[in-house]
Amino acid sequence: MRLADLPPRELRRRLRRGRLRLRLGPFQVRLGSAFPEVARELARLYPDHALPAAGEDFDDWHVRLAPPRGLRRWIRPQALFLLDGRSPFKPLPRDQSVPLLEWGLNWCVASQAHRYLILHAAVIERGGRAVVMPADPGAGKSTLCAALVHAGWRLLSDELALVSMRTGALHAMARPVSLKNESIDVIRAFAPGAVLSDAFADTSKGTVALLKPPPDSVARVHETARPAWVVTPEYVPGADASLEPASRATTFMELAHNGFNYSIHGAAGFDALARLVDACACHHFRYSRLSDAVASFERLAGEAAP
Amino acid sequence: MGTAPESRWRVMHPGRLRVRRWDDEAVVYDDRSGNTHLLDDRSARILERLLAGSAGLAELAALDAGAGPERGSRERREAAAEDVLSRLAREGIVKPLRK
Repeated sequence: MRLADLPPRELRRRLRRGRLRLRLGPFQVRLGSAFPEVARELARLYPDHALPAAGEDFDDWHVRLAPPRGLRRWIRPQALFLLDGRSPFKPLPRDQSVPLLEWGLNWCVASQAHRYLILHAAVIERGGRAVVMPADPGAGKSTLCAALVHAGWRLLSDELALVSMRTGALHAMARPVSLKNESIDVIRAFAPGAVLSDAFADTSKGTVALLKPPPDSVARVHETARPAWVVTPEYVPGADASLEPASRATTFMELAHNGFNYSIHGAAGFDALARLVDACACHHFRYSRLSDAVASFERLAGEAAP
Repeated sequence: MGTAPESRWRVMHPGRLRVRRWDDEAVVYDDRSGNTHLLDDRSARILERLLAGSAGLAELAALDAGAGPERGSRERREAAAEDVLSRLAREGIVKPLRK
C-alpha cells in the first residue's frame, strides 16, 4: 500500500494521532502532526512511498511536528521537531514546518544510521552504476541532481549518500530534492512536469521548495547501486560544461570532508571510503546550463565501466 | 671534532596508521588522532619508507633522487625531507629517534 492509497481524511487522522508510518528506503518512520500543511505536502511529495505492511512493526524514528508550549502557539506561531518526544533543534516559524520535517529526517539519518557511511552527497544511478556527487552548499548539487533525475537518471538521494559498511553498495531513500532560491524557477523551466511543494520563504537557506521524487525512483527504492563515479559539481555562471579528471586522493579528502559519520567509524570508515574511491572514476564538473550538464552525464553513462 | 650525527626518524605508532596511495598522492589515517591527511608524492614516499623501519635523513632525502633533475641538489632534497618530517611530526605521526 502506498501513501496515495490513503484517503486524505485517513491521512490527516493518522498524522494527527501520530500513527502515520512510512517506509523511506531502508528506514521506517512514524510521523505525527496536527498541522494541515504537513498532511497536504506529504500527500503531494510522498504519494508513491510505501506504508509498512502488517508485521513491519519496528519504526526507526518516532517524529512529531508540534507547536511549542506557551504563547507561541498563537502569537507568531512556531513549529517544533520532536524525536521520541524531545526536540533536538530550536523551533522554527510555523510556516517552515515542512522543510523542518525534511531537515529533521536528514538529521535522524545522519546522526543515527551508523550501519552506513553517510556522506553529504547526492546519488543518482543508471544501469546499476551510481554517481556520487559531494558538494559544499551553493555548488549547485541539488539543482543538477533535480535536472538529472528528470533526464533518465534514478534518484537515490539528493542529500545523504548511504554507503553500506558491509558491502560498499549505495542505498536509496528517494526523498524529495530540496531546491533553493533561483534553482526553484530553473527547475520549473527545465522540467515543466515536475511537482514541487509550496515555496517556503525566509528559511535559514533562503526560499526553499521541495521537488517530488520521480515515481520510478520510489518504486525501485530497495535496489542498491554500485559506486562507479564521484563527480564534484561546481556551478560557475556562464561556464561551458566541463568534466575533468580529479585525483583519487583529493577526491577522498573531499568525501571525508563531507562525511557525516566518517570520524565515528574510525579506521573502518577510512577503509570503506577508500573502497568507494577505488571503485570510482573521479571527476570535477563545472557547469552553468542544465541542458549541457545532462549531455555531459549522458556521455559519462556511455563510458565503459570503471 | 667530528661531524654531527645524522638524525634518524621513525613512525610513532605504525599499527595505528592506514595509508592508501593512488598514483602520486596518498591519504593517511591516524587512528590515535582520528585525523586524515593528504600526502604528496614526496611525503608519501617518506612515510612509506618509515613504515618499513627507522631511517636517517640522508636516506629519506635520497628517495627523491630518482625523480628527476627538478628535485635539485642533495642539500635541497634534505631540506625538503626535513620539511616533510617536521610536518608529520607536528601531526604526531613520526618522531626523531633519540641520539
